[in-house]
Amino acid sequence: MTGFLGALVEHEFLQRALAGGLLASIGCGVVGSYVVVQRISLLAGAIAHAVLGGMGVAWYFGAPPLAGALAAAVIAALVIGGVKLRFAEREDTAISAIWALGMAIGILFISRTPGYSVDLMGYLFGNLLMISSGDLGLIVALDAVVLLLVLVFFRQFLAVCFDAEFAQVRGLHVERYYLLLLVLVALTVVMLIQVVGLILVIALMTLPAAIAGRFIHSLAAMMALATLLGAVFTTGGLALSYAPDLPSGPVIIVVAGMAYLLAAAFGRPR
Amino acid sequence: MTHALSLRNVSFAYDGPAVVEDVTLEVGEHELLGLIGPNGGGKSTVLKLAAGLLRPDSGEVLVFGRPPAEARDRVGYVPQFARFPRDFPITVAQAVLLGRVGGRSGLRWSAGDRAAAGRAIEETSLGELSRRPLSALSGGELQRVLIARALAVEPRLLLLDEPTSSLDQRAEADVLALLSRLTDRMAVVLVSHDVGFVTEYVQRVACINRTLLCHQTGELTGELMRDLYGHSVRAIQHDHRSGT
Repeated sequence: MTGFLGALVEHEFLQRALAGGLLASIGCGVVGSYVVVQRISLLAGAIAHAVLGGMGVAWYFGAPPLAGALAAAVIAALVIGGVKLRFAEREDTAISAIWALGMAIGILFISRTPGYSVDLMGYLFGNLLMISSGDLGLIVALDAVVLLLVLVFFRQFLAVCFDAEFAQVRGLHVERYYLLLLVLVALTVVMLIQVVGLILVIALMTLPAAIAGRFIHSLAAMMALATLLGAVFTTGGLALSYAPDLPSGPVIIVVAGMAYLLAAAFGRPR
Repeated sequence: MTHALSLRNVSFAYDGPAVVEDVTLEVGEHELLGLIGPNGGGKSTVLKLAAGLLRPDSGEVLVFGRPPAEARDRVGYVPQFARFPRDFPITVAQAVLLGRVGGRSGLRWSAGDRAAAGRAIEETSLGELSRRPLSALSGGELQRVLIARALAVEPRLLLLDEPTSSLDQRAEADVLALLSRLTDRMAVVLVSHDVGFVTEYVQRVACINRTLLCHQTGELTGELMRDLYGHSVRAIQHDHRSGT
């Protein structure tokens, strides 16, 4: 661990990696809490995987992959939300189809693009050590958008998550808030892809919030604690992975997963 | 005279045969009406039509003479609590405040919102529980929270879906006594499949099994019960006796 601290002072790429993990924890804690209380982790997983389609297309046309990821995430969120709202009875099939279709499209485009393989692994499993200052800027911007929307619509989101039927009787446009919430999930997915990669996104999005939810009785406090836990897991995972030169994304998820199991075993039963 | 709620020749189908057919019903401004009938008979659908959650395929629904969408501030809605997620991270006080949610944005509730929620908490005797998380409540307490949230709207028409199902008799009696007190300032419509106990409190029952079968005060006759429930009459009459 002292080795990690020494390296942190010395290497700018490590400082960027640490900052990336800490900044992504904000979106992760806030939006992850909604994902957990709304029980939409399957939807979040589908959005995360469908993102590969957008990245592949962007790659093929020489655009920045994260721009493709952002576009694909928002489109996937709106399509999945539409499916969920219109065809509730077949939603799991439709959502799984979008999940797989996005990945298939991504792989096809990537296979037609020369010289792809190293970066593909980075986007599937994350490579925090390769994060650029431009990537950090994107995470800051996405955090800002997420926090602004959550602050402005906090009560509406709370009402819709708690009891959509009652919120509708009160005159809220429940479907609009639901779709907006899925767009927030999409933005957070794009942030977290840079930290742990798209395959591991769901774990980082849900585990800190799920642990927080065992000890906390208000949504705002759950978000704060989940953010803190996310910061601990990303920082801890990064530090643990550094000396043995392990991939940081999977180590972060293992740390988060162990913490979740410990909380489940020793936490207050709910 | 304006009725709190009036349905005129209302029909509704989800996808298939009509669930509610040609129902005409009026509820006075201080009335406690029980909507009863078998499961799947369309009672909850009638309530959702009244709340503006569903639009009738034909006929007209009016709340204080206006379409439900224009009368939202006068309607308190209490969903079936038995299906409610108990593990949501929220306290009693926060849940009741959500009755005040509307178009306005921001993190803070206004003083008026807090006052209305406070009165609703007091009226439902939830004062001591107001800081408790929802997950720590009994069924009867959770039901009172959902009623308090609807009262925080300061409604003049309160609509309740199965407010007493899966409550023990004491909690059921408490809820029904509260509802009958509320009629001094609002109309109350409650859906129940549990005929016996509810008829002790309501002023009038409307029996619904797709169509409106009866509409009357006082005791239900065996013949009507047979029309309404078919073969299950015996069991229900037994429930009725044990409930009194």
